[in-house]
Amino acid sequence: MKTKESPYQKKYLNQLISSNHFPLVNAINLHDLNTNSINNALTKKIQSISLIPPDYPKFRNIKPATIINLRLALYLEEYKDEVDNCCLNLLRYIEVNLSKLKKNEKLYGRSRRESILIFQQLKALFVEYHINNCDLLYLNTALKIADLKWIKPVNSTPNSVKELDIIKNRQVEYILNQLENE
Amino acid sequence: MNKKNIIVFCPNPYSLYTTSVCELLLRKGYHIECIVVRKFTIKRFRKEFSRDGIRLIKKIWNKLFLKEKAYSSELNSIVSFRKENNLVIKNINEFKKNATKIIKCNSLNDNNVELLLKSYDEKLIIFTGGGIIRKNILDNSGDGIINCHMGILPRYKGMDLPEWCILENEIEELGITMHFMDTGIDTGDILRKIKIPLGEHKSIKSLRASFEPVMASSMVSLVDDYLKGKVKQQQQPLSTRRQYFMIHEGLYKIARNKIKNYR
Repeated sequence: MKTKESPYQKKYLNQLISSNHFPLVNAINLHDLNTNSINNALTKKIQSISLIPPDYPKFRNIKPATIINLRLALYLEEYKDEVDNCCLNLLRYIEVNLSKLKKNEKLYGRSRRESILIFQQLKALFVEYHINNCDLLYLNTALKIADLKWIKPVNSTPNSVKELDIIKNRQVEYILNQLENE
Repeated sequence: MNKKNIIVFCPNPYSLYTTSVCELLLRKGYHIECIVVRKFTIKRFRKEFSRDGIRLIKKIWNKLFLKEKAYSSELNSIVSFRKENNLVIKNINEFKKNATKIIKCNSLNDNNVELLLKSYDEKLIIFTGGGIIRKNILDNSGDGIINCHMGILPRYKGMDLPEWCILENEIEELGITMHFMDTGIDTGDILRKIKIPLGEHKSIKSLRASFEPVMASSMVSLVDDYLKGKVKQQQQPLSTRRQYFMIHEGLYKIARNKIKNYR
C-alpha cells in the first residue's frame, strides 16, 4: 500500500530531482571535509530552499528525491528529530534486509536505474550523517552499501550520480584513514 | 533439589559453551530435563550464509572441525577453562546417560519444540545459541529463556559488540549481560551484568575467546542463584538502548589495530 503524498510534497519532490536544485545537491557532494565549508554563494542558494519536513514512508515508496530532501535537511540542520528518525529507520531497513535488498527492489517494481539512484543517495546520506554526528553505525552501513555490486553506476546512470559515487567513496576512504590514524 | 525443569537450547551438538554449562549444572546437582539441539541443514546453512557470508565458513571450520584446536593459541579460553575445571563432556549426546532427553530440531521455533515446552509446567530455559526465538516459544517458556549477551545492556545491543566498544573507545563497557529473552532483540529484563577488563589481550580473537569461560561460569552461577530466589530482574530503560549491527571489514580492521594501542 502506498503512503499518500500531498500535492505539494509530490510537486516538491519532482522538482528536487529534475530541476536546478540538483546542482545544489551536487554542491553538498563537493563539501570539503578538510575545511568543512563549501562555496559561500552556493551555501546561500541552498539555504534559500524551503524544505518539506522529512518523513519515512515504507521503503518500497521511497524515491531518490525523498533522500535528497533528507540530505538537504541534514546539511541545513533543519527538522533534526525528523532527520534522525528517518535516518535510523533507513539504517535499520538496510541492515536487517542486507542479504535481500536486490530481491526486494525487484519486488517493489523499481527499475535498475532507480535502484542505483536510491542506493547511491542512501550511501551519500549515511556518509554525511556520520560526518555530522560522528556516528560510526552510519559509516558501517555506508560501507556495506558501497560493497553492493548492483548499485554501482552503469553507462546510463546520470553523470551527477557517477560523480556522487566517486566523491562519497573518496570521503569514506578519507574518514577510514583518519580513524586509522586516531 | 529444585522444582523447575531445566531445558537447554543448543546451537550444535559440539558446542563447548553448551557442554560446559550443562556439565557444571550437573555438578551443582541440577538435573537437565532436556537439551534441544538445532540440526545443521542445507537450509540453515543458506540462511546463515546470506547473513554472515564468509564469516560463517570460518565459524563452521572453527566450531565443527577444529573444535578445541581453534583455541590452541589462546591463553584464556573455554578450552583452558575446561581443563582447569576438569570438564570432559564434548558432545551433547553424552548427557543421555544422565537421563537428559536430546531433541533435535530444524529450528528452535518448530512446532515440536513448542509442544515439548507445553508438556512441562514449571520450567526455566537456558539459551546457549541457535538463532532468534519466536513468540510461540517465548509464550511457552515458563519462567523465561535466559541468554548471555556479549555486551553490556542496555547500551550495547546487537552484534559484534567487543569490536564496537573498541571502535568507540568504550573499553570499560566490555562485558556480558545475562537477561531474559523477549520478542525484541536483547530487550528483555536484565538479570546480571559482568564487566570484563581488556587485560593483556592483543587481538580481538583473543579478547572474544576470553569472554566464553566467563559466560559459561556466570551462566551457571546465575541459574543457581535464580533457582534459589536470589536474583532480581530489572527492566531495561528505553532511552539508552542502541542497536549495533554486524561490523564491516573496513571498520573491523581499524578495531583490530586499535586494540594493540590500548597496551
